[in-house]
Amino acid sequence: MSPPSFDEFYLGSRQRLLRCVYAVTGDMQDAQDVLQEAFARAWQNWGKVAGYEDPEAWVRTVAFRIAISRWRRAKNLITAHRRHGAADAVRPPDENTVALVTALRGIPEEQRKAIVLHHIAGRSVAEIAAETGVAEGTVKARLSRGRQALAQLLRTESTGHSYA
Amino acid sequence: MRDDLDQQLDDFGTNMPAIDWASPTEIRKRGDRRRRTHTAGMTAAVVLALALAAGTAVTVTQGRGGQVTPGVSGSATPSASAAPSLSPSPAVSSSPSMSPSSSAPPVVLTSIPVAAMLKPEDYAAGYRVTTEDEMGESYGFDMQICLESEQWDGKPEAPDMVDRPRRDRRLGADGRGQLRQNVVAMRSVSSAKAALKHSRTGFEKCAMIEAPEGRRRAFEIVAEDFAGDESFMVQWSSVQLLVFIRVGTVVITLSMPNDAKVPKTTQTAQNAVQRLCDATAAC
Repeated sequence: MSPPSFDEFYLGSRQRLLRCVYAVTGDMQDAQDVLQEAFARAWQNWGKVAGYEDPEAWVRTVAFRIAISRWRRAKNLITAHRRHGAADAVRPPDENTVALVTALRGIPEEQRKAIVLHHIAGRSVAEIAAETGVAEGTVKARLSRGRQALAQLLRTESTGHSYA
Repeated sequence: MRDDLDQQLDDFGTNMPAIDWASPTEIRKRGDRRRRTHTAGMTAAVVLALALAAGTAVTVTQGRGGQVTPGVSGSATPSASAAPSLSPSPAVSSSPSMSPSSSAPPVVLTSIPVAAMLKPEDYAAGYRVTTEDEMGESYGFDMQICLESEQWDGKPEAPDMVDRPRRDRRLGADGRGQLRQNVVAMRSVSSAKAALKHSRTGFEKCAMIEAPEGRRRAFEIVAEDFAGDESFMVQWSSVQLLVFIRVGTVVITLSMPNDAKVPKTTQTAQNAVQRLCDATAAC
């Protein structure tokens, strides 16, 4: 296991991954915490993860899982203390970002994940299908429904987008 | 055709504030601490729970197109050995107790072959093996609340399981909940017994939990000794049935789909034991 290769991976991918995780958590501090935890687990398993075709996908998937699990347990005292302690350290995002994050939180998890992977992480339909273990048709359906739901929440006109 | 929503999604995160990141050294130290914490004292109830839950599958399975779907704490080694030939689909009419004969030492497995795991037909029509991540709740988090509130002190302590060979499997069907199975090869019969004892004590001590926001959860032992050398079945509130089985030195856990009832769960548990016995020397 090589600290330099892990360090390079961490430094090179963390910002890119933060966008995705933030889109899922809706809170910058939580996103950072979740992502750093996912990277810690990547280091814990670096012997295997380093050999994967796409280690970034591994970290992203783990981060999503942690984020969703924590969200379901949200509002306990430990989380509140941590958030209270660090909240001032991060400047709040702009209102468009807040609106989109809020809307993302309002759509079903599978649709949210598909939207984040496709539009924010830049994954293709085929790549999302492989990563999430579902058929490409299912991914397309989730993207389509997710966009419609988002557009409704954002009160944005959405034209019929084609996911080729 | 692009539209305003496309633009918003494209622009998302381009204006994110600067983050005070942990250094690579700090991240690696955090990972090293996790490894030590897991070895030192994570309870079997939580380990087994998290092994079933969406966030901590402990083996890596190959998804479509060769993309690897990760487990969260991938310390285990999936078996690469060829499975011995299987008997036809399990026909179990009574609890298959497969205790080793008194003259033969208990077998400690060094891997769990794929053939030892449940097949879709062992549960219900319409189910298939899946790697899809069902982002559902995990009872392990309710157990964690029980521990943190000191309703249970975690004793008797769990045996060390982190580095034991294991395999997990998910069976899913469109529109229905997943069945999740985890099989761990323990070091000894006493270690496997200790794992079940620890889990069962946890459910008994945490029979009623007051979770955040006033949510109440309950665990009730609804059946026992229906499969393997020892077994018990837990009803987790109205959420699902959970099954814990020991077969020699092996521990099998099942997290059932929400609509599974006790009779179906019992049959599935027996099928799981049969698969293990057909594919390994554990029985």
